[in-house]
Amino acid sequence: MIKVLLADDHRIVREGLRRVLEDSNEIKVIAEAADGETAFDEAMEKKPDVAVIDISMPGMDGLEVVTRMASYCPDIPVLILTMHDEEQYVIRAIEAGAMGYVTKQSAPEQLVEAVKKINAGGRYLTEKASEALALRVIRGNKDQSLTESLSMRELQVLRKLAMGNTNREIATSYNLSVKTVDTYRARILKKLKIRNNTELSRYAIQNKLVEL
Amino acid sequence: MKNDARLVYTTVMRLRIIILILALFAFLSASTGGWLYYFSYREAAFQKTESDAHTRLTLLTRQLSTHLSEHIKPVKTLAGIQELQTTLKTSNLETIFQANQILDHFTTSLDLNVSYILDKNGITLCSSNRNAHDSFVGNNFSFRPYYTEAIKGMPATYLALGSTSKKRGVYYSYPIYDGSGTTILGVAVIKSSVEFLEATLFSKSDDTLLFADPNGLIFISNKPQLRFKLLWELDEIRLNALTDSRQFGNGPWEWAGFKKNNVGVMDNQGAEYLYSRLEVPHYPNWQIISLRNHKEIEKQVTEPFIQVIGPVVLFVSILAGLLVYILYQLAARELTQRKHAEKKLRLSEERYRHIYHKTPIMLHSIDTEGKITRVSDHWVEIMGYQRDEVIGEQLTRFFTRESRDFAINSIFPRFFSTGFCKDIPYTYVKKNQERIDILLSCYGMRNEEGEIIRSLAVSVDVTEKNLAQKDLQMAKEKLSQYSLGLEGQVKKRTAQLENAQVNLKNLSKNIIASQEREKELIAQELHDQLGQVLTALRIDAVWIERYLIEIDAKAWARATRMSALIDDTIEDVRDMAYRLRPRVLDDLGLTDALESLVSDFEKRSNVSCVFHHDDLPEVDKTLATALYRIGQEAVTNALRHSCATTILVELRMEQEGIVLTIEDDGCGFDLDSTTDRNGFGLEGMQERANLVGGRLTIETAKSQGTKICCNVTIKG
Repeated sequence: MIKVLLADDHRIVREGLRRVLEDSNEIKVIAEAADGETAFDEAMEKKPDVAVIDISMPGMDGLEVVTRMASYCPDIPVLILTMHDEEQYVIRAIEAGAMGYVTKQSAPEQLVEAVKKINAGGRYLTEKASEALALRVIRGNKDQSLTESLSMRELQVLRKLAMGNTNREIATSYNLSVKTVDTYRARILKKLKIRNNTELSRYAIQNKLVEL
Repeated sequence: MKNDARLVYTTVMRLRIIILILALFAFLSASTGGWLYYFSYREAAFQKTESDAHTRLTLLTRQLSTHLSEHIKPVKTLAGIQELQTTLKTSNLETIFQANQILDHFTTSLDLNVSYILDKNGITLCSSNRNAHDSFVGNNFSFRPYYTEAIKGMPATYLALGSTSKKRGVYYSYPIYDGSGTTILGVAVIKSSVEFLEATLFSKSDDTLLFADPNGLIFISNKPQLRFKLLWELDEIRLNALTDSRQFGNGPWEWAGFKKNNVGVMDNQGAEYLYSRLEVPHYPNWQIISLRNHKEIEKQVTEPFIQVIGPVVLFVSILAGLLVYILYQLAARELTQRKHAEKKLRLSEERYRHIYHKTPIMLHSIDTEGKITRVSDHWVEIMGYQRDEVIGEQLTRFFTRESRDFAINSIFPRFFSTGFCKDIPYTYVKKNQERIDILLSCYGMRNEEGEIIRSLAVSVDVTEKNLAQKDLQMAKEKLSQYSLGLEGQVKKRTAQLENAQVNLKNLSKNIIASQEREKELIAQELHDQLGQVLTALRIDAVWIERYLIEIDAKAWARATRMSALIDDTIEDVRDMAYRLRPRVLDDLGLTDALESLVSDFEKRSNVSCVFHHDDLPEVDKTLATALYRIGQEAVTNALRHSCATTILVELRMEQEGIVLTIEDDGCGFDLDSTTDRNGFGLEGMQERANLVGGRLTIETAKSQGTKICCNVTIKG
């Protein structure tokens, strides 16, 4: 059984999540908390295998709990729960030391798997979250003067193109029209002063825009 | 103008007279010189002529003497002939015939006038002219001196006019002795003509040559009209003696009119003659005389002189004339020019005086003693004096006592050393005792040595100005009192206004803040209540869905639809909350909020939205909200209105504070158009910026894109 600390300030949500976790028969919620302070204390006291923590709570918010736990009990992996699907939260959470990230909305489908995965020492990130992280790394690299002129969406399209995705595939994954993707592609080529997809791939690899 | 012309004319005339006098003087000098030269030349000519005449006379005397003694020997020979003695001893036809033969022969061979023999009584016994109508034979010549001398044994020569022949001749006589040579029988006489003599010796000269006896009776002359005239006037006695001698006939002998004076000889016409004379040997007191007319001599001198000197004089005269003319022209021109210049000067002086007098400014001049030498019309007009009451008076007489002391003690000394003074305040006293305040500026006129000789002063009447100034001063003081009061009021009002403004600002801030708070609250409510409930609902719905999947397909389908509906609702609520107030702004801060905003806009628009930022310190909520809202408004505008293809949002940390820039490459807008301003929500942005103490600048123009920049200074 995986011992889990569940922290969320909304009782009904907490109960719902607890049911989701315990329905799996592999997870046992050993402690619950409605605020950050309690969550940290419980974590220190009950030593759960995994801490599932809502990112926004009264008192100490989730991120702070993660930061504190990363220094006081680094052996307890933290899974961040959130109402928000903005990439900024994901990045902050991972930066703070969280091992996974799940939105409450997708919790019924992903939470159990996520807890299991990080309990096993892995990371749990949605594809979207992974991408956001990768982009943040790229953005954080100050040497990339050319990529600086690219917008976030352009960077995303660039990565996809570099990894061999077709325009249609890209359109589907970002919920765009094919024509729009084509426009992005043209804009990227112009901004980076390259001519075709082959050169684009080379450029992406050379500048570590994609992982091989 | 007329006066000028006359003056020029007079001056030219005077010059002309001076030049003429000079020319005359030069001419006189030249003439005097010429005259003196001429006289000395003439003197020399006279001397030369005199000496020439003397030489000629000497020569003539010698020749005459020779001629006159020519027949002395022949007559002696004649007297010695035997036959003639015989004839005289024995007079008969035969002896007389013989004697006549001899006489004829003698006369012919010697080319004599006549030769004859007188007996001892002086009666002509024989003669070579016995056959002529004027024969001498029988004539008694005993009165002749040649007879009287010869009968006494002394041969003689005698010049006389023939009493019978009426011809002049030279008589040579010699006594005829008998055989023993002691007794004189008679006298032999030869008479030779003087015509030849006269023709050969006298006629060749231009001068008047005379051969005259001791009484001055002219016997031979190259001038026929002078023959037998008396050179000098003779007294009665000598004239009678001459008549008695019958030597030259019976007379009468006219006086030729010559007179001796201390220089020479003058005739009765007044003509002067150069007079030379020489006595002839053997003819005591007979003289050869040369008379030369002075005029002739002068003519000799003058003619060549005039011939040579004439052209020279003419040439020199013309030259001198030309010179004088040129000099005259030059002088006249120079004079005209000078007159012209003087006239100009005088005109300019007049103009100056006219300007001086007529310019409507108070002008005056004083001399070194401070006396007025000149004043303008305006000066006397203002002061109420007549000009002659003022000229020559001390300037300070027209000053008030204070001005006078001021002038004498400090201004005059300064002025006479520097030659300049400006805006000296004096007070003048008019004739009617009124006072006027003036400002006097003065300039010193200097002479060639640089000493100030007089002044040119301008006085400006500032009485009214001073009055006006006083009034102005008073008015100013009043005004300043007023304005002090006003200022106080204004300050009060300003304070009130500021207060009101602060209140308004606070109010505005509060409104915005409460608005934000409201939004935040609603958003939070949505999130925390509705969102969480929906989330919980979804969890359950999904559970039901899973539960029903193998039991009841129909119910499962329902449950699936329900959970999908819940999903959509969650999305809607999230969106709604995000619109009201993004949670990320409160949770993660401005940078993340703006990043999220930018990528959200990009996702929704397909416009390339780029966000760049520096690492920012945590900023307070109000500022973050303001900047976020400004960014949100600006990007919304760019997307909505500009047709931009790229939007660049930058959040920069500068030295002074935070700078948020939103730049697009769209079509821009007209900043001055109020419609645009309102439509673009510029006022709102401005308001938000102001409330956080920021400064919003907008750079845009049609088709130039838009750049909105918000600068916020962070204190501390």
